[in-house]
Amino acid sequence: MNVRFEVREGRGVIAVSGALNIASVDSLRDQCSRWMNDNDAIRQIVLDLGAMDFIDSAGLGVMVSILKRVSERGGDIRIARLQKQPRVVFEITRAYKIFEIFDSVEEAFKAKA
Amino acid sequence: MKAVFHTGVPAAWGDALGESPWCLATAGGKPLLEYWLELAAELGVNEVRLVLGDGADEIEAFCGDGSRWGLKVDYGFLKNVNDPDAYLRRSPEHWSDGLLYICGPVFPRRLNMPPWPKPAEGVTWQLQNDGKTVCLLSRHQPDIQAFISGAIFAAKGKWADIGLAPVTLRDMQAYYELNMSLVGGESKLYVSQGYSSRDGASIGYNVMIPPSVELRPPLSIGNDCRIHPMAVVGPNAVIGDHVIVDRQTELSECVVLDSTYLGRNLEIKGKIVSGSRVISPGDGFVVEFEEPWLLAQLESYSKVNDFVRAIVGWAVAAGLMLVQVIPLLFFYPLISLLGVGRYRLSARMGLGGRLLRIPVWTTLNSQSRLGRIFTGLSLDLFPLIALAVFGRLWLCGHAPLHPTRDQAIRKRLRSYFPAAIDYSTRRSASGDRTVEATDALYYERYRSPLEDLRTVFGTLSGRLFDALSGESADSAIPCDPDV
Repeated sequence: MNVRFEVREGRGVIAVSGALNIASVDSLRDQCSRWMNDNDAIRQIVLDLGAMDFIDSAGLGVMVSILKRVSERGGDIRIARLQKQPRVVFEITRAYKIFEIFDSVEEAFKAKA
Repeated sequence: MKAVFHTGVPAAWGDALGESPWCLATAGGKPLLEYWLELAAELGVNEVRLVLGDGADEIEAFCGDGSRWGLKVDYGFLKNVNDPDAYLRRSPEHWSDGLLYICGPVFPRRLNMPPWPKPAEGVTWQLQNDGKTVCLLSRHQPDIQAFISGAIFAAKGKWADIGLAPVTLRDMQAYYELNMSLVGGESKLYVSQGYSSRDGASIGYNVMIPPSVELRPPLSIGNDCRIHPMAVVGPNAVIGDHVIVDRQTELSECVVLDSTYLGRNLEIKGKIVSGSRVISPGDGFVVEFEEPWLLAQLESYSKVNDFVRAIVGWAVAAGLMLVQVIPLLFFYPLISLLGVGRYRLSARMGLGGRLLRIPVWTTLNSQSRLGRIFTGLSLDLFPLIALAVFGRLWLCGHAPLHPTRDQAIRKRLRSYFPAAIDYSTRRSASGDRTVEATDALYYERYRSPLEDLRTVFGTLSGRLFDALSGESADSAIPCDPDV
């Protein structure tokens, strides 16, 4: 799994690629934690999952924990470009009710809170 | 008239459903193959040849000799999947009285309720897919010979004239749509006269549904299923046999195939679920779940699983016996002297079906505080736990079945694990055969070392709690007064 962080127009984009599973959740959690500490003015974050081809329940768990942390400081997280396998996981675990999901990063930025 | 059904022809969508052959994939809760056999019986076919490929054992186990449908079923094998008609060419004279031929995933759709018009002699009905005949019905010898020899002939019959409209199931979407159509009301065309389901809910035998479950017809639930509290089933949910739906899970517009476990708080909508696989019907995309607490295939038991259960069970039984022996030596003489209760021998089926006389505790004075302490500490189970230590029973498993009264339940179980502790031990045996059968079938498919530990410790702690709160536990196994 690889993670790339980017700031666009005052908003954060976290691009995750590869497989987000029990073997990689700690790495994502740590990297996100450090990045959010360094950029604590950023309130809106888009998770770009266009290159993430696999997620399991541990991966969902870390996403929820990131969402919780961002929500606590008054921000929100949106998800963009969800691929087929993760989409099915989001659907059957009802994670789609927690996250707002968009077809592109731009759409996620444009959508009103 | 004879019938030849090819089940060995590959169907790509069938592979995604799991290990079972596609002809046993259920449509509206019934295997596709069963629709073929019912059609054959209806058309007056007396002999069916099933030409097998992958999954031959499973198909043979399902069909047997065909007597269930009033047919004589024989089996053959397909040597070349690209030339299924070669089977017919081996003995062309065999089919001269008439032929019903189905090759590949075809659903013999009915257009109306019975009685259906009988096919006239001298007419041939044919369904083609990609230039190949996949379904043929004929009593016209020249047409049959032409078909077998590969010559071109014109089938004159219109399927609608005999109340049929067979369709090829080309892909997962077609399979899903068929299920939705069946659960939506079409299934009434395929059951015997006299049956009606006014609310569109069809529920099989041995299905446990607590009051908090919400059923939204139309829906179809197979046999031996367990739906846990606060689940929502329907509308348009087709659930196969031996399915467990855990708490708060919602199912709608979906097909759940046999022996599937659906975990807690899931939402299955517009999907086909087969064991640990979720399939999107539109594009046939398959997602395999590796977390058994979300989705799992039941019945995937190995000998290793049972071996681990045996070891863990024996160790726990030995520990319990050691812990219980001193309290038993203290309490039992007092209990006996005061006439609070006693052990009575009762005949049960033991391991391997052998007759076993097991000591069953009978409470004679349910008001006695001493008796409540005795059962609260589960000392009444001591002889059964000792039998588990000495290898005569499992520690956790099925309630030991009665040799005569429980024959019907025993016949339905593939594996039987008579045990000291089972699901009914805490709540006391109900005597309700349906509940006991459902428990037994559930355990058979859901057993694991973890489930055993959960059941044993849940039972023991629950009985202790019941005793502390003033409830008395009676015998877990009903004692027969005649023994």
